[in-house]
Amino acid sequence: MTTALERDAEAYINALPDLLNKHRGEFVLIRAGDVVQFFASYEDALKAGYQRFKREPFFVKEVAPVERVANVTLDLEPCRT
Amino acid sequence: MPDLTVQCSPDGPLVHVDISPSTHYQLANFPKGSPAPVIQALFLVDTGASHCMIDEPILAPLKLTPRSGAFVRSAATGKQQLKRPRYDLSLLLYDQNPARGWFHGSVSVTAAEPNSFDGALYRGIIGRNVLDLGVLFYDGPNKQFRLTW
Repeated sequence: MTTALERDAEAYINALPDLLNKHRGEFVLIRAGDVVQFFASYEDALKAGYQRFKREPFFVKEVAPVERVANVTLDLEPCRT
Repeated sequence: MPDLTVQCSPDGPLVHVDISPSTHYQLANFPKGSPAPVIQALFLVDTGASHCMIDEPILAPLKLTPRSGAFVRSAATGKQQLKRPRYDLSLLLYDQNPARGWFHGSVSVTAAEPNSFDGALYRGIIGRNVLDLGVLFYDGPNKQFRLTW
């Protein structure tokens, strides 16, 4: 079963080529697979998301051609199948 | 400047953390004066971590959903990057007295892989997205650290 996070992340990836043309560096708010609105900051996008969708899932992401990677010292084991 | 001086544990520089939904979430979802749920855990202060991390199962009582996803890399993953959910949380860091703690209303905290914290006293990591907002002194000989902000 696809989670809301997976669905919205996939919507972001699919829309990314178009988003990069007009909204590079902005923060996109996505809900239920649909692009809702763009914001200048991550915080503004979060505030709007909570005001509009309350406790429901929504997704916020910076529109960027390359995703930043978080580095941690904690041992994270890659998933194995 | 307010500060927080903490004795290191055998696990390293640990700090008490009260974890709640972010202040933005609380404003939108809790009536004024209504207390938000809080969970408490120990976190490791880790300058090697670019972002805060948390043991995801401890967030269950807060009934939150992730706000984004993040790619995470560690020594164990090598060049491979793991896609992990990221939550929007408020964090209150303190030693003995929460009233003198360091409060952050909205912090992006990435969920660690399951069982990543097995065997450790702590359930999360305070990374540089928080530490960059203050000054950290690490006193090795006296086994203590101080955060000022």
